[in-house]
Amino acid sequence: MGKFVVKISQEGFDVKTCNDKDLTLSSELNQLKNAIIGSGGAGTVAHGLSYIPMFFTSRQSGGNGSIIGDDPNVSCDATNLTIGASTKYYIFYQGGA
Amino acid sequence: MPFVFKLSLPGKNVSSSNPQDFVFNSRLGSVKIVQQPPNKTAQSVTVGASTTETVTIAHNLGFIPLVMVFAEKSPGTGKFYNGYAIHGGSEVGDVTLLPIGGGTYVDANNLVLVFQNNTASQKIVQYYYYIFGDSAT
Repeated sequence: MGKFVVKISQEGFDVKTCNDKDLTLSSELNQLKNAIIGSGGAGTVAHGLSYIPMFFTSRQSGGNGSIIGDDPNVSCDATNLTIGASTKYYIFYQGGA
Repeated sequence: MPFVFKLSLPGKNVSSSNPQDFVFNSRLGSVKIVQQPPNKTAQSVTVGASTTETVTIAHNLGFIPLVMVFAEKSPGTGKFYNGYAIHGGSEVGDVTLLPIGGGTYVDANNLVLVFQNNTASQKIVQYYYYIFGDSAT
């Protein structure tokens, strides 16, 4: 018996033949799952995951947002995400670096 | 009684309590891509020698979204960088994407990219972006 797969393609694409990049969901392809979302000033955010997770950060300035990853001083270890001033962060369950 | 929709990763039990064991779990939020370039194809902008060029991408989400941008630092190489690296990073390229405060920003309606040509000749810069349906504030 073959294996079972759940797939949803994006609008306009054939789910049976399209490339992986044109899928919305596939049980064979992992997706980012939010662990912690927050915002704050310079300092550390304890994430409690015991491994180094994937993360996005974006800075705010003048009422606007920056592109993800533009702050060279942001870092993450197995305990804390370290951020700069006026930063929004998304910490994901993906990780293991 | 709440209903939950879960898909476990291959080899993992869908009854697992470890969030890492799931492709999808309706109890866990996920960032969502709402906009990419047309036809999911890298876009190009021509930047004159020693000048800047502004690209405005309308998203009209009504809130400031997370955005990710990839661009060539050395046009024509096909090597794309993102984040701090395309703002200059530790090695300024032929082209720089100016940082927030210097021109590039995202607001509730548009993603505005300002490319600076650091050379004495015109450059055609390729770039790609993801706009997420998730707040950056």
